[in-house]
Amino acid sequence: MNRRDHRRRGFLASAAIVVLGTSSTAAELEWNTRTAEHLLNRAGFGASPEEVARTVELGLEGAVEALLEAPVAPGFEAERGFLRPGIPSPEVMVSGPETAAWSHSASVDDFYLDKGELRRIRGARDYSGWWIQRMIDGTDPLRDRLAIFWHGHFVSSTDDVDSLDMIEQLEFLRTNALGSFEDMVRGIARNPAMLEYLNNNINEKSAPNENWARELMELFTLGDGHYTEDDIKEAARAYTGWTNAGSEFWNRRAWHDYGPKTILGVTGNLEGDGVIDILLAQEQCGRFIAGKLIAYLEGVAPDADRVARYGKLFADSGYEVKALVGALLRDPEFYRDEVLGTRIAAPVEYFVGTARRLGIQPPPNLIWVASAILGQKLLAPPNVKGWEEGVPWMTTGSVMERSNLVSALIGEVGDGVDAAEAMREMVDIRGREFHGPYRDYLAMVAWFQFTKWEPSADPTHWTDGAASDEAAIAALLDRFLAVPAAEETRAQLLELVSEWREQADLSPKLTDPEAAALLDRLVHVILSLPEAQLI
Amino acid sequence: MTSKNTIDRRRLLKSSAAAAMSMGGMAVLGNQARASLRALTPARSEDENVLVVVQLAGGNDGLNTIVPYADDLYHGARDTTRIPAESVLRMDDYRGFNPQLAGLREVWEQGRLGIVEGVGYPNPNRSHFTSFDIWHAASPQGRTAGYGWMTRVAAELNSPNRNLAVHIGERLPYSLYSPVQPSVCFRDPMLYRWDRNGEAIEEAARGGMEDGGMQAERRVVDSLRETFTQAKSSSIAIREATRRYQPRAEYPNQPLAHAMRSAAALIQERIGFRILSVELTGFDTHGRQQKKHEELLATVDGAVSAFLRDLAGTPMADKTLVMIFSEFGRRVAENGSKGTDHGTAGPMFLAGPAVKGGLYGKHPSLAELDEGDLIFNTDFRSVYATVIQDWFGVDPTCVLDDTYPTLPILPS
Repeated sequence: MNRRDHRRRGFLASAAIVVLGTSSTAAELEWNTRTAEHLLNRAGFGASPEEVARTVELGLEGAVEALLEAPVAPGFEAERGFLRPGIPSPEVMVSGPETAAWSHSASVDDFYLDKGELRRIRGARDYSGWWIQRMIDGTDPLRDRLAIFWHGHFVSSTDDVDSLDMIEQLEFLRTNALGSFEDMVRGIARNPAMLEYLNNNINEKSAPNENWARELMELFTLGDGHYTEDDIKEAARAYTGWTNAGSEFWNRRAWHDYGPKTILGVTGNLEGDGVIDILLAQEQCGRFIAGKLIAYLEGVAPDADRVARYGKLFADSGYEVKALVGALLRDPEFYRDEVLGTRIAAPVEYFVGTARRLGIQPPPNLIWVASAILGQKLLAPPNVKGWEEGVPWMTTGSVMERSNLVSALIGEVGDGVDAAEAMREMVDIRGREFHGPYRDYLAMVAWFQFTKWEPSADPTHWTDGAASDEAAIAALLDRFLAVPAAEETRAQLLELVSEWREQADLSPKLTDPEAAALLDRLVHVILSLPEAQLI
Repeated sequence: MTSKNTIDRRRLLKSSAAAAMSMGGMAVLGNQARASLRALTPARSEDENVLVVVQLAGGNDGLNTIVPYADDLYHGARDTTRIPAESVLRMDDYRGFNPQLAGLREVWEQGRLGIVEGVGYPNPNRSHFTSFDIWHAASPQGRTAGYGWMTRVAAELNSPNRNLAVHIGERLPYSLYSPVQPSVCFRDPMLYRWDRNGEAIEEAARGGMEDGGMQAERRVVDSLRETFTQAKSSSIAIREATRRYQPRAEYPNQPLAHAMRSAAALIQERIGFRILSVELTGFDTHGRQQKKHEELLATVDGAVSAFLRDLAGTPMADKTLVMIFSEFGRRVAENGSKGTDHGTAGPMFLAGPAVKGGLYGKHPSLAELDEGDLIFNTDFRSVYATVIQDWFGVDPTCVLDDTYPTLPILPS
């Protein structure tokens, strides 16, 4: 394939050549269903075999271009007619937007105790539902994928911040997700949700508050070990007076310390933007962000040489995220064995990916609650460092809860009880205490009741054309797993199917239309396997 | 549901004899059977000792936990976040408990609370995440130094039991991380099961020797298989133990307290766990600290004292040690936002009937500060070493790679 012919932008071409040219170990990339699926898993939220086949047709360059140059889909406000904070109608402030069938329900709201919490939950719920819907069938998957990355990078949370301000922040990050990192840092330093979350809104000269200054250096631009405690104290002084008035940034001059400061060796009467100038001029800044983004998309921390090359590329491009991501998605190393199928899917990716591979449209709020139960609550990351990706997602408890929750997307998965029924039963038995884990499940049941949604996919569609049980199982494994299944696993699944058939006194082959219940159950087992947690 | 329970119980009964032999007294046995089993295999007391670690995440303000109420420098440094001398629960003529710690004060008066003051480590790191890594790996190198310290202790216990270390909560702290022998981690015992197709999943998740695919993905899948195996081997025991358990004290209706009640169930039913962990987050009080911090301390106090009351008078009480720590303390002087920024040294707590109550280490001086921060006097690894040696009977150098002076806080 001649990649160069397809390039439209000079800086992209030169950037990619710098990276690829010095990468002597990289093998020539083979573009096939495996690598195409890999691209769709990592740069988006997974795909059905049919979409993978179409992507193979596009070629690597065409596929990457389609992701990078997808038309920017309308934002939350545009789609929902959402009123900006600052000019809220009392009605919206109290009840939240109600433009979708599942966005509001008294029966759901009854599960939340106090009004303040209810209001926060509603805002977060409506936005998260809208966002998850976009992940399921949106036209701009790379933007949504990177928006999650930036959400976990520039962290604020509805635990501490009004949900309407959080929505503003998320919309800002989404808009800039493929744009300029510099714009993002400067914007986030003025973002009301961030000012509040890291307490800079109360940072004044008599006794500066270090919270924002520290995380700006430690988590947002340089990484631990690349600044001193004095740099933080001085930067905190530079940000005195950067506060908010409601949902607007306010440079409150009476609070500002106008004295000289020295940060990373540079002295001046610095203000917030001056600090950012100094941070962006550090070689470490490009390296830190490039290294983190590569680790996020590849699932493996890049080696020092690669961090240095991509860090330089990123800084040289003027911190254009599109340049960085474009080069990475074209890099044969992105498709190396160590990377393919070895990344643990985060909860949102697991459920959204499942919906996409099943070809179903569940109420997005089901996925919102299920992901929150597993520790990935959109708009409320666990702490200022965001979600820890990879192995920590998988605990002895979460492997079970993933399996239990994903059954909600499938239908009857065994013991003759459908998923909603199973949840209800669980709440009947376990819901005596109205706290934490149980309440999340209660919310899930409420969504079932309210939306009256029932899984309705026709599973025989997935085995279309398979002539035997073996072939049907192979088709299912191909659809749902990013890694090839072991022979033993195939044999065990085959055995299970024949056991179930005996128990149920059924004779249909998996390929028969009557076999839907067996298939649902089989899909549930497959989605519960270790292999299914990987993308 | 009923039928499922019956099946679980039946399966348990069938396997209980074998399990009891291999697991050193499984909870599935009745009291009588358990007693006779113990008589057969008399254990040294440290063979049953249990540690419960309570992690306070975010950086607990040590000065407002054990308050130097008689120190003018304390009151001078804090305008809105100080605890007035008249409201502290006095311990002596210098320090007292935060008023929210009435339960711990009672444990103190019973002589069952050891407070190690001024705990920290050289070159303190003020990043939450780096500092936690240092505490969790018990090394300034953090995670690159090795697995979590608690799993390293577990490995030294030479127990045939797989179910040794557990975190009750959502995410496993690195202190319990081991890729070789995954620690158990669950949020709530009643959610700790496969609701549907459990046996089929267990079967199909085992894989086989001849797994397909590339080496890299096989490595990841294999390590996930370990997690599945561990989930399977602990799920029934944990649920049965919790279902049977009748607490002797009332716990507050709050997640940390629920977690500690689960911990008590696992300990009392003796299903093998020796190292247990729970967490409370929210201690990063940069702004408007006072009310938030009071609520947090009240939560810890309620949960820990209920746990100790629950165990009190039972055989396991003497074999259970509670340790409370945070990744760092906070700066002496408050900031302009009625809060405190990241600091350094702070107090650690060891509680339980076996503890020789009292003060250890030294209250850090408020006069001699390092850039506004307290100077530590006791390395946290000294506290670890004490627990490793005197509680678990393990040579601390095997876990800590170095020797640290121990404290005379536990019977040795």
